Amino acid sequence: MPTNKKTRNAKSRNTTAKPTGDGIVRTLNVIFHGTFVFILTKENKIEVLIPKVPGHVYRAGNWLAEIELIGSGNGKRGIAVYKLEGATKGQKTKFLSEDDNLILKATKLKQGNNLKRLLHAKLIMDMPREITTPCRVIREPGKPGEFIVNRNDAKYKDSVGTMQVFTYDFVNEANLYLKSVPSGPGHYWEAAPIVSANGKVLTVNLHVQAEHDRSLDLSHRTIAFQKCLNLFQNHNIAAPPLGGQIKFNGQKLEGILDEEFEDLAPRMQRISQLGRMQKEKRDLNLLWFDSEALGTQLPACEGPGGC
Amino acid sequence: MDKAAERNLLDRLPGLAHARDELLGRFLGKPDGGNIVGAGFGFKVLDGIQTEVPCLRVYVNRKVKPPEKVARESRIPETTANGERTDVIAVGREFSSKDLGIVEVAPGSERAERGQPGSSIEPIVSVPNVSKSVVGTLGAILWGAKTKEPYILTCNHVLSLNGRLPLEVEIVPRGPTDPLDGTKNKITGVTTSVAFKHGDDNRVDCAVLKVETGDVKPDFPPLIEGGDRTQVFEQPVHASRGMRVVKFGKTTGTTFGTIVDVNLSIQVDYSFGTFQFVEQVLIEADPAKDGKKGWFAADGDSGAVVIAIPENMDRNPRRDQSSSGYQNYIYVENPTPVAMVFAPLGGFTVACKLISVFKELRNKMHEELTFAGPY
Repeated sequence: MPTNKKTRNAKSRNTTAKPTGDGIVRTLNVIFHGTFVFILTKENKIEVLIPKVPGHVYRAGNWLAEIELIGSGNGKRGIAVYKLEGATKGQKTKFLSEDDNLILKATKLKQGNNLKRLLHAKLIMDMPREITTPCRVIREPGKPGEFIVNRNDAKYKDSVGTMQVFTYDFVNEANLYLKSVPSGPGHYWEAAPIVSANGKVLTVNLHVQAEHDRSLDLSHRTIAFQKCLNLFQNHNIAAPPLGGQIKFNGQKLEGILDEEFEDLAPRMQRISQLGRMQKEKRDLNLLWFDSEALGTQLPACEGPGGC
Repeated sequence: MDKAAERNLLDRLPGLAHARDELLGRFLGKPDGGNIVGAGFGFKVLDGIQTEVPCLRVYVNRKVKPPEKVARESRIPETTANGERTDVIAVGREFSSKDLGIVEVAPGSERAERGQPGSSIEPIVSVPNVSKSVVGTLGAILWGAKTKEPYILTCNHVLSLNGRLPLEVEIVPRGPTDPLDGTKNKITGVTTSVAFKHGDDNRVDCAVLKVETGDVKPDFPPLIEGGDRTQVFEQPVHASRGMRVVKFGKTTGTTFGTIVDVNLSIQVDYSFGTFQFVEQVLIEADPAKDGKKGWFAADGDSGAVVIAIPENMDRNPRRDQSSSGYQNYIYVENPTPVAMVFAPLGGFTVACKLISVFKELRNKMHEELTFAGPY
C-alpha cells in the first residue's frame, strides 16, 4: 500500500549511514583490468558487462586486496548485478574515446538467456567525470588481421584499449559501496582513502579485475576478445591474432601509482616474491624494484606489467 | 616521578612539541623513516633507570645495533635542533599469535557476562562496505542525564566504522559461555560516533549506542570498591605517566599495565583508511609470570576501559559469595577510569583519554554522560 511504502521510506532515511565526511570533494578512480564490454545506456549510465572467459578470475576491491566478485553462476537466477553508489555523476563526460577503443554503434547485444549464460556479472555506474584509457594492445605492423571487418560499424583500428579508468568525485567515502541490484548482500569493499605524508587525502581507488591470475599463452588475448564479441548479435567483426605488445601510454592519473596498473598474473608472482623477501629478511621496499629474470612474464589481457 | 619533575616536563611541552613535529616531519613517509612508528613525551631513561630529564620519546619498530649501521643523516639525533633530548624506544613485536598463550589474565577473575563492561559486542552488519566480522569490547555503560537512558560506550571502529554502519544498529552481546549464534539476545539502539578526520589530528576513537532494547549491566564484573560491589566512579580522570592500570577486555580478559606516555602521536591503520592521532595514552603491559613480555590488549579488546589502580594493589583475586554462587574478583580501592583501548603499537597498547571522549561526545550529543551505577 502506498502508505506503507511511505513509512518504509521514512524508516529507510532514518537508518541511512550518517555522513561523516568533511564536505571536501575527493577523487574515486575505478580501474578496470582485463576483459569488459562497456555499454552507454539511453539514461546516460554505463553498464559494464563482464563476460565469462576460461581461466579468468573476477575480483574487486582496494589495490592488492581485491576479493571475488560473485557472479551469476549458470545464469538461471539472472545476472549478478552490482551498482556503484556514493560517487557523483559526471556532467557532459564523453564516452570511451574512439581513438583508443573499439566502439560499436550499430551492433546490438544478445537478449535474454542468450546473453545471461555468457556473462559473469554486470556493473552499473553513473557517468564518471572522466574516462581514461591508459593501456592499449597494438596490432603489430605487418602481421595479418584486422580488428574490424564491417567498416560501416566502426573504424578500422590498429590498437584497442585494454584498461579503463573511470574517475569520479565523491564527498564521503562512507557512502561509497557496491550494492546488489535489485537486492542482495552487495560486494564487500571498504573504500579506504590514501593519505599523503602531509595528511592530504589523495584518492580512493577501486580495482575491478576480469583477467587470469597466472600466465597464459598469448592466444588467450584473442579468446578473451572473441568472448566479448560473442555478446553481440550478428556482428561481422573478427579479432586478429593479438600478438602485439601492450602499450602503456604513460599517462599519470591522480592518485594511481604505476604499480597499480600491473596485471594480476605478474602481481601474483610479485606477492610470491614478497613472501620470499620477508622470509629472507630482505628490504621490502625493493618489492617493485625489477630484479626478476627477464622474459618470465607475459602480460596477456592488459596492463603495463613489463612495459 | 616527583611533582617538580612533572612540572618541568609540562613547562617544556611547547619545545618538545616543536621537536616532535620537526622529527616526524623529517622521517614520516620518507624512505629512511619506515622504522619510526610514533612519538611522545616522557623522561629520559639511562641504563635502564628513569631520570628526571624531560625528553622526546621516539617509538621505533626495532633498534638498529650498532647505530653505525644507519647512515648518520638517518639517525635520530640525541638532541634535537631546539635542544630537546630524545629517547628511542623499541615497541616492535614478532608477528605471531603464539605469545597470546601467555597473556596474563588475572587468575580466577571471571570474564564479563553478556552486556557487561568487558564483554564482547558485535554489530550486525547489513551493508557491503563493512566486514561481516566486526567485534569489540563493551567498554562501559554510561547514563544520559537528559535522556535518562543507558548508553554503551565502545570504539567508533566497532560501532560505526566511521559512518559506514547505519545509525540504528543491532549488536550481539556475548558472554564467555554464550553460543556463537547468539542473535536472540540482541541489543538495539541508535549510535552516535565522533568521526575521524582526514588530514587532521584525531583525539578519540569512540562511539556510544543509546540502548533501546536489550539488557545491559553497568558494573565491571571483577571490580569491587570497598567490598560492596558498588562501582563509585561517575566521571573519568586524567591519565598520567607512571599510572598503574587494569582493563577488562573481550579477548584477553583482565590485564595489568603501566601508562608510559600520555602525549603519543601516531598513525592508526583501519580497514577503511589511516588516521593521525595525537595526545594518546600508551600502555606497557606487566611482564607475564613466565618472564616473557606481557600483553595488555589484543584484537577484540577495542573499547575496553582502562582503569587506574593503586600502585601496590593486590592483584590476586578474592572470592566472594553472590546470588549465583562464589565469584572471584579483584579488590580495587578508588578505581578511576582514565582511557579506552583502541589500537596496538607493536607490543604496547594505545588508548584514548576518556576525558577527551566524554568532552567530544558531550559536544556532539549535547548530553551529559556519566558512568552508570548499578541498577
